[in-house]
Amino acid sequence: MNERLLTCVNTVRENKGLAPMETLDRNMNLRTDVGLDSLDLAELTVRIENEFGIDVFEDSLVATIGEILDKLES
Amino acid sequence: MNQLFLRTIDRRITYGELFEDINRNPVWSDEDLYAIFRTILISLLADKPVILPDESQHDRSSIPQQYNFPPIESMDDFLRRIRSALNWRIELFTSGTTGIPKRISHRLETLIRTASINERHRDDIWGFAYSARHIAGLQVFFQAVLNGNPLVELFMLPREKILDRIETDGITHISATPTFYRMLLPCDQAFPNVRRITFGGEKLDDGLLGALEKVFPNAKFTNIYASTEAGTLLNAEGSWFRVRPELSGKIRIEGKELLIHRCLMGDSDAIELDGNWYRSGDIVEIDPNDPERFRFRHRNNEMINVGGFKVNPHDVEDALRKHPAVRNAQVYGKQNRITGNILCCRIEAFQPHPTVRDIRAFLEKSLPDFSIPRMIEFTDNLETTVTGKLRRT
Repeated sequence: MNERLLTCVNTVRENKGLAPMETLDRNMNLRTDVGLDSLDLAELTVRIENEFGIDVFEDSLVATIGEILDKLES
Repeated sequence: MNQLFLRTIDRRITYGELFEDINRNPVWSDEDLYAIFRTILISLLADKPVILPDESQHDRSSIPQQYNFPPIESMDDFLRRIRSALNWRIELFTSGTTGIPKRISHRLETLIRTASINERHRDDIWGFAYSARHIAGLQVFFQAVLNGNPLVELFMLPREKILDRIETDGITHISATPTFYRMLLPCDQAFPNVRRITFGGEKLDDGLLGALEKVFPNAKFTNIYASTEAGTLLNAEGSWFRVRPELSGKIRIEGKELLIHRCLMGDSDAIELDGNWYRSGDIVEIDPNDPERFRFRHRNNEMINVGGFKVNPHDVEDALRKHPAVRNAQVYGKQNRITGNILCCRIEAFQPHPTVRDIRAFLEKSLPDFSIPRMIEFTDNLETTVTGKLRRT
């Protein structure tokens, strides 16, 4: 799960010219720690939905990696 | 009578052979391009209405099968009788790219509104690059037949075959969608035999025009605006249009949308009018230096909302096509809960494919962040519709 999410995150980062991250930590904030803006987050949700078939932003805003993992695991 | 009428994928038929065939067996059929052309001519000679079902319609029970008329005696007799078919109507169907196919009935007069029929066109040879079941194809058909010209089938042929036909059959005139011409690029050959290139059905961009000027060095370029509901209405040399004097007052722009007066429309219960006007759904931009000139920007339902910004997918496609490795591109929106939509695109690229990062870096030079596609997919062939346009779904 974590690896597949890391791939999604790194695709978004690499497409905008950022270096890939080696690991994801549950406490990482998507904006401040992962470095994503609104358009990047929009791209990430679409990539996650393509990969897992789940819309992680369906019913609430998601701010951290941990919140995404919770949605994917539930 | 030995003049070629039609070259299809596997046959050559002269006007003499066509007349013999029509005289012998005047029945309705539509199994191939020749059969469709033949059926249209038979109905004209009988001066009776004809139905041309589109590719998706299978119920043909209501279609009259047999037509009666005196045999064709000569080319002159044939042309004179076609031109005088005052009761003739053709019922066709919109391509349904924007909904359920609509049934529209046209008279010959509408279909040949912008046709040019005179001695100067005697030696024209037409490349036929549209479906014969839709209005653009019918207009090319009448332009050619009423001048007694040959038609050479090009629609849906592979690129190499098309280029070979243009050269070996000595084609002088081609009318097609920008998507069709784009498929021919890049092309290091030149075809001096081609004298006229006509565009229609889609927005034309200057990059394509520039590239085609090298491939067809002796051609004049015409851009036409037509619709299944109204036939051909406007033509221009590049992307900027102007209403011809005879249509003055019958075409107007309201709130950037092009409106067409009902007197120019075909007959159909499916055409919705706003008073006396038909709302085309085509959004135009008026030339700031000349209020009589305008160009098409997009269809009214095509804008994509990305985080509150309205993005015209055609602008993004134009920017993508400026990349040297991109032949053609199609941009669409994908919904999400953060920005409403993000842009996605499919790209038909030359080998070796550029990387996603290359494409984005290239677009970053000319487009704002929200106009840059986030999901980029490479494909060998972008899908086209039955009318030869880029499929936008």
